[in-house]
Formats: sequence, structure tokens, C-alpha cells
Amino acid sequence: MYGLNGRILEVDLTTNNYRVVEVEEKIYKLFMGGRGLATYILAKTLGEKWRLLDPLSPENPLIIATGPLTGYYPGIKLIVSGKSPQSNGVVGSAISSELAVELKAAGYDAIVVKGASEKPVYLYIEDNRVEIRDASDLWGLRGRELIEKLVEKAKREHGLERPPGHLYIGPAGENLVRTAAVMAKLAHASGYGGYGAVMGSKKLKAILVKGNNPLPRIYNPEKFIELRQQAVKTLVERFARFRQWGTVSGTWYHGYHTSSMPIKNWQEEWHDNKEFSPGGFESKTWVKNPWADYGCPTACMKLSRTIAHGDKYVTDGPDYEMAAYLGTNLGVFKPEDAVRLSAVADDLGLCGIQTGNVVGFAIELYEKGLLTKEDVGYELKWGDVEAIEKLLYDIAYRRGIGRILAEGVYRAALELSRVKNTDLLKYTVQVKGIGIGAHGIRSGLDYPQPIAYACSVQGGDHTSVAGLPVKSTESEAWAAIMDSSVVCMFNDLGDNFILEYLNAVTGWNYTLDDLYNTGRRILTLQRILLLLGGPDVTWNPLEHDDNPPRFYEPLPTGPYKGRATDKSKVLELKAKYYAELGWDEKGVPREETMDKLGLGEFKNLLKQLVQG
Amino acid sequence: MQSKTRICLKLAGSECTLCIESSNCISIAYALDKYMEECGRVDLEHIVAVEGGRILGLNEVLCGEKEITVVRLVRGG
Repeated sequence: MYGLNGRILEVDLTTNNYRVVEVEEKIYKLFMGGRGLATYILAKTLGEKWRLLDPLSPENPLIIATGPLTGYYPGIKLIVSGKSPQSNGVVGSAISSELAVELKAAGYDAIVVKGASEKPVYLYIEDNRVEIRDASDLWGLRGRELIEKLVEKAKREHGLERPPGHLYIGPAGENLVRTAAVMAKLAHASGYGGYGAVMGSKKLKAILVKGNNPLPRIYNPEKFIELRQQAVKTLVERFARFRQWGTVSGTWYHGYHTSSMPIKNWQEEWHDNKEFSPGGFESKTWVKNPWADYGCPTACMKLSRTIAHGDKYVTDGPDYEMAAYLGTNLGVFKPEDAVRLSAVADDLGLCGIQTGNVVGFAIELYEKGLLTKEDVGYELKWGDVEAIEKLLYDIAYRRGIGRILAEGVYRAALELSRVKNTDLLKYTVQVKGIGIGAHGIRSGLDYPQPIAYACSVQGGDHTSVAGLPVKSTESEAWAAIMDSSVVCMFNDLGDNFILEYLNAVTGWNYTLDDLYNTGRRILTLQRILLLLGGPDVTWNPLEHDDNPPRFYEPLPTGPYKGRATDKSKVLELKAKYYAELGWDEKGVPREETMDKLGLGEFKNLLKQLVQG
Repeated sequence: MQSKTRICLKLAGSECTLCIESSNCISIAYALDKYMEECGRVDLEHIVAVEGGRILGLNEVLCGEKEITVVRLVRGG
């Protein structure tokens, strides 16, 4: 086996044991790693009882997975997964952390954390040494303070000069907030899926990994060196502007030019506030540019800082999604305010997208008189940074209205609809429990197609959008390949290049068809688990494979005023998309498709689904 | 006598195909710029031109009849 260790570390926090599980190469060839491997493990070990599996129970594993290109391709993404407490399906949630390379150098391709500890613990892994250690002194700490402690611990207890690759949760994860992220390095987040809550349910505060071995051998080292040099050269040359401005360039590009940025819970998608632009962030908040993770030539990140009431707030970029969701979506149009809220969300371990989505929903309800001061305890207004910051804390600590909003926008809407005795779901901007990323579809100018979110196996995840044709980098099959190989989507150099790279590292001799069939295989298995869902929520494809109602309302402002998503186009594309994937008219994978994709062993799950 | 250049660009999933004709050769940077102007949905810095699986450099120049695939590198952010 090349490019992979063929070993998974399985840790059981209930029994305080661990073991190494060998994985055959044929499994990697079918599912690669990352998202694909996680989906396979979940379907194989828990598929039969998927509908009964509570995502926040000890039975739901937390999976941290690398892929065959981890450590070889520029960038250091890894995938966090498990049964999602947001969608009740499988989400491959990407995050940048040096832990990816450290894990592979420690001799493992993935960690599967099972069970739950009675008291707070953290995992320390150094090659063959696996320790489940007491984390009583870490529990309750927010991001910045936690990292300081981890640095101290790394020196004192593990004799390391600096902390090894790490992942952790903040108070939001500890309190089982469904919009909690798994965090790394102060401001990196694996937000989609809500796996911070899964980690919290296991009383697992952090995972630290140090690998001292060489990475697994490469099939064709000469070709690999040539491709690696080409990748670095192309990324450096091609992304000079991206390196300068990072994704925050979207604050103006998507806010002004493509009219696809969430504003006030997506009531609008256009702004012309020149201050809320890359230049505004650069002049008001940036203290370091660029900022990058290990081995990444693209270096799209920045470090931002602002001071309010004497308190310092530090975060990255913030990247476009944070600026959008903790900025314009909440009526915040000052860079320093968006940085402040982004830093608070990071520190609390909240996913900025999902939390910004549910907060936007709450403010709109307040604006419409559907939530009152009595409900909230204070006034909620667009752009009121003090109130929004307070609400972020209330969500993270599940206080007051925060108890309901901590359930994420879908479940919060269900509960508030019940309490208020009126339909509030129509104000949610989510698909299958997952708030939509900050790229709208109404103007038709941003990258997501009209079925992008409606048909995604990861709901509103903007990094995994459904698209046609399926055999193209515009499709979700491609997103699944990126998340399984595992490559950062910002370092993507096209399918042919990734194919050549993968073959040089693994020696699999894949064709482009093999590669896309791997993507189809992963999507098909994810789709089955998503539709099985349960226990508290299940999805009906006829009703839920759709956009939120807001996307069918005409844009009220900007140069594309009046544009809305065309429902008949959505239905037409949906039918075409299902047919291309070999799914039936409801989007249920066909038996022959499963045979063709080598998913025969999972037909029992399909049977469960069809039998209802 | 120089032959005519005709370059057609298409992005997967987009209904917009752009063909540029010229009596001279055409640079990739110019072709991508035109594609962005005409077809929207893409930001120049986030796309590359690919011919036969090879990523073309911005400074490369194409002559004759060519079909170019536009590949989006950066989605989201």
C-alpha cells in the first residue's frame, strides 16, 4: 500500500481502551479516505441501527480522517465526521490542522473515538503511545485560554517545545450546542455537521497528536516531486491576488458584484458599503498578512485584531463566510465589529455560519414581532453588536432563549413554531437542518446552481454543493473526492491534475471515470444514510429536497432586484441530477446503481429506506 | 498569411459558451477576461483554462481552432 498507513486508531472512552484496526487497500480504493472512509465506517458499523442512533449518544463515533493525499498535496485539511446532530446524516466537515500530517506520521490514517467518558478527558497520541488523560483543568476553558494551557502542557507533560497538532472544543461543544464546531489553532473550525457537540457528548475536550515517523512511502517518487513542484508553482503564481486578499475579497465581490451575500437573514443579498470590503478589513483590522498553515503555498488567511471596551479580540481573516454570517447577515457593516463577533464565536467554539444563521433568524423574528423582549430578555436589533455578542454567549452556555437557539436553526424554528403556534420554518434559510453557506443562488451569478443546496447530501453546506454535470468539478461528486483524498478546496487544480497526483502517490492507476465513480459511490451512501435519518428528524425528499422559501422571493435591492430562483428550473435540474446519479425520481438510489458502484453490501440499508 | 484564430471557452455546468475569433493569436489572460465579462458567475483569479487536461498559463498564447475548458478553482470561501 502506498500513500496510506492502512491503520485506524480506535479509542473507546467508555472502556478506556484503544486498538489498531487494519484496513484493506480495497476499501481505500473504493472510498479513498476522509469523508468517504468515514461514510463507509458509519454505514458498515451503524447502518442497520442508523434510524435509532442519537447523534449525541455514546454510540455515535467521532471520526477524524485523513486521506491518501494528506501530507503530499499542499495544504493540511482533515475531515471530522460521524452522524450529524444537525442533518442526522453524514457530513464530511473539513478543517485545517497540522494534526492531519502528525496523525499520518504517527502511523494512522484516521481516529475513531467511540463511547463517552464520565469525566473530561483529552487524547494524547504520539506514535504508538495513546493516552486518555484527565482534562478537568481544561474543561470550561474558551479557545484562547485553552491554547495557552495546551502550550504549557505540551512543554511540561510531553517535553515538546510547542503544542503538537491539535483539535479541541470550546464551551459550546461542552454544552452540546448543535451549532458547535470542532476547532483548531484559535480560529479554524470544522463547523458543518455540529461535531463540536458530538465531541462534547464524549466529554472529550481536545485531541493532541505528535507523529515522529516518515509518511508512508510513495508509489512514484519522481513523478510526485514533479507534480508537487508544479502544484506549488501554479498555486503561488495563480493565486497572488487570493494570497493578498484571501476569501474576504468576497465581502465586496459577492456583496456588490454578484449580489449573493446574506444580508439580514437573507432578506437582501446586495450591499454597496465600501467600508465592508477587503480594503476596509485590511486598513481596520489586519495585523498579519498572509497567515498560512503548514505547507500551504496559497496562504489565504489573515490575522485580525480589534479592541472594544478594553478587550482584545483576535481571529483569522475573518474569512468571507464569517464576515458574511457574523457581519452582513446580522446587519453588521463595520469590519471591526465583524472581527469582534467572529473572535467571540471562535473563542466559544461556535460555528460562525450555523450560529450566524440562527441569530439572523432570531433577529428577523424580533423585527417582525414574533419574538419579544420578554422572550429574549433584551432587545434584538440588526447591527447591535453588544446584544449579538450577548446572544452568542447565551447560545454557547444554553441560557434563556439561547437554550432554544442552541438547537440550530431548524430545530429552534420547530420549537418556536410550537410555542408561538405559528409556522416559523418559512423564515429559516437552511436545507435539511444545515444553514446555507454565504453564497446565494437568486442572482444566478455566484457559483452554486439552483439545486446546489436542495440536492446536496450535506444540506446547506456551501463546500459540498450539488451541480451538473456530475462528471465535472462543478458537482458534489467532486466535493466528495476533494474531501476524501483529502485536498483543501482552495488548492484544487482541476480533476486531471488531482487524478495524476493521486496515481503518483498511491499507484492505483485510476482513470477519470474511476475517480468520479468514487465520488458517486460516496454520495450514494451518504444519501441513503441522510434519508434514513432519525431518531428525532427524518427528511422526505419530495418536501425537503428544495430551497428555503426565501430563495423563491425576488431580490428586493441591488442591480439584480427582482431576480428569484425559478421553481420549475429547480424541478427540471433535480430530475436531471437524480437521473445522472442513477437515483430514482425521489432521489433514492436505485439497486442497480448500488451494484454498479460496488455498494452491494449496503443494499439492506436501501431496503430499510424503501420499506419506510 | 496568418490563419484565423477561434477559441471557444466553456465552464462545466454553465450554459454560457464564448467563442472568440481573431486574425491574431489570443492570450489565455485575454480569453479568460472576456469569458468572465460575458458569462459572469466566475472571478478571473479563481479560474484556469484547461486544454486536454493541461492547465494553461495566463501568459500562454493560442493560435488556430481550440476548445478550452474553464475550470473553477475556488468555490466558496
